[in-house]
Amino acid sequence: MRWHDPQKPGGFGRKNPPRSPGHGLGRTPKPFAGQTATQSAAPSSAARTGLLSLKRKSLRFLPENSLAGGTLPWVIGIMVFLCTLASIFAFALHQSMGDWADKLSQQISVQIVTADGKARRQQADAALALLPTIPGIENAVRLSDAESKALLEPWLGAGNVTDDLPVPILIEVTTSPGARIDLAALEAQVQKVAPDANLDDHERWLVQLNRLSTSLQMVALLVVGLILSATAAIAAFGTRAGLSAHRASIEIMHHMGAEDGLIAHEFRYRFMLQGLKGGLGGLIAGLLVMLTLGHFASQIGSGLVPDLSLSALAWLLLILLPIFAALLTMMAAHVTVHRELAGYS
Amino acid sequence: MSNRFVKFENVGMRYGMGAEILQDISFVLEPGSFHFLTGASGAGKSSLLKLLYLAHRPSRGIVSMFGDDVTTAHRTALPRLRRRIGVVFQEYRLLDHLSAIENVAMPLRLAGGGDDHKIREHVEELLMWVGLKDRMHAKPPTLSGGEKQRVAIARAVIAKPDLLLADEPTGNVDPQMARRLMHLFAELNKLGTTTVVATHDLELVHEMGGPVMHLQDGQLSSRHLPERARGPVSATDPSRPNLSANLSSDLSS
Ligand SMILES: Nc1ncnc2c1ncn2[C@@H]1O[C@H](COP(=O)(O)OP(=O)(O)OP(=O)(O)O)[C@@H](O)[C@H]1O
Ligand SMILES: [Mg+2]
Repeated sequence: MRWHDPQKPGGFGRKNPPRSPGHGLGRTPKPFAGQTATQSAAPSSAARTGLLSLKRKSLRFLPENSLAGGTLPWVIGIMVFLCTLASIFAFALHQSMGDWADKLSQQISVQIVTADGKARRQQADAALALLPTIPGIENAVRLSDAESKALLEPWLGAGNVTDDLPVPILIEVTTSPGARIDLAALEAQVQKVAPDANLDDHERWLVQLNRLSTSLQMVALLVVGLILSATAAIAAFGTRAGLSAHRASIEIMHHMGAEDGLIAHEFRYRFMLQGLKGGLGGLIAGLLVMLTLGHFASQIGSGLVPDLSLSALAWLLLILLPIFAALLTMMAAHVTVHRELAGYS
Repeated sequence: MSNRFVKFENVGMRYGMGAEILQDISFVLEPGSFHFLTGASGAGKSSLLKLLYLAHRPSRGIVSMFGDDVTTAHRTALPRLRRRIGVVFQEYRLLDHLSAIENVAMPLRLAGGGDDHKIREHVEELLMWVGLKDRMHAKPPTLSGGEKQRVAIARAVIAKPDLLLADEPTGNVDPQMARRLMHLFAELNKLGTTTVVATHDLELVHEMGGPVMHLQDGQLSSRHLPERARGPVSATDPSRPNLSANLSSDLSS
């Protein structure tokens, strides 16, 4: 128990009550002459070590702008920039592949392949009459001869698709969204009226597309993960440098009874600000690059370039990136301070 | 409170893997006692104080502070004890970017609570008393050695610690100021702060009298100096600091 027992306000002198100053050097130092006001009982607030205790007032034992202004915000900015680009490409890819797959999964192609032109046309008419009556099928459209030929031209060369070439007739069937169509049963049903019909639901294609899309997303995720761990490592590195630069001050604070948590608090706060600063810069740079690319893409026009428009969720995640970078930097600083200080004796 | 306030038993100390610079140190500081620590330069005064302010672990023996065995205590147990100790470092160790006021206020801030205004008032009062009225807002790099020393002293005593350790606290001030500072320690001691003052200034020791811990060849010996006819500090002070003999020589055999 301390001798300035809070339960005895003003009750100095466990042993010797203050005596009247009678020395020849002027008055008794008043700080010892009955002042208790500044003495509080609990070493409370200063001793707490919670990770998120940002509200605690800084004791300013580090110079105002120390730990700031170095290369750390730049490096974090670059990291977040790269992260932004990687995420945007992943999101855009995911989006357009998804759109594509959705469209494709609602399409069934019916091909009528026979050399006999008359039979081909009869079977096509029969199939066209039957298909819309089947539940789950929204419509069936026959591609014109010109369209069918156009599809062949890239393989055979323009002008080589002569009129007498037996070009298969193509019917594009669109199923209603969410309808489950048994392809084999449908094929059997169609073949009753059009024996030379083949059905293709792009299943194989879709599987491959999905696999590619998934792998690309995995790679993007991996890239983001690597960038984030590099960010944490850099923050830890910066923290260690800061600790050794201010080792003397930290030791003074330790000697006065400061807990590691108090030191960590100071570092956490400053590193969080730097993470936020760098993160915002990186995000803004990344978005600018994306907008520029999007602008160029829209100038090309057509459906050649996948759209760079992002979903609301993607936007939210992007905007959270700098905050995430700040939290990550802060956490790295927290862990590093505690780990390093544990070795201080 | 334990009357074994501070207790060393056969304590040894070394830096790193070097030879022991302190050996078989045994003593007890009773609460409220006042001691001088003397010895030639390099005898190990600062090192012994380092053990006392828990900045260094003994290489052997047992150190207990405020009734707790701290020889092997976990480092997380130390801050609580350190907040009860005020230290005047030989090399001052002030925070260079903070003004004298802010430096002196730090222990109060660390203790938590207390509103800013009160802390400030309190600190200003003490700084005025040590003669730094005009230098309160100066930062340590712009202070003279003696001024820094007084800031360091003010910081050590501001929170009225249970144990005050002063390493050569009057080394850089004129004799007049030295007496004034010693008076400050004596005053604080009267209020119950156990005090250890390491010094070369045998003149001052003789003037104050009291128990002296003397370091030589890594060993501690103790004696009690009779109070001498003295200077202004105690001559006009009816209530001399409580300087009873508290060294237990039975431990150091
Ligand atoms: N950090 C250190 N590492 C290694 N040896 C040290 C260290 N500090 C002090 N020493 C050695 O320990 C011995 C005691 O030093 P210490 O500083 O305790 O002496 P002192 O009595 O305080 O001297 P002074 O009166 O000059 O301040 C000396 O021989 C010194 O060289
Ligand atoms: Mg020394």
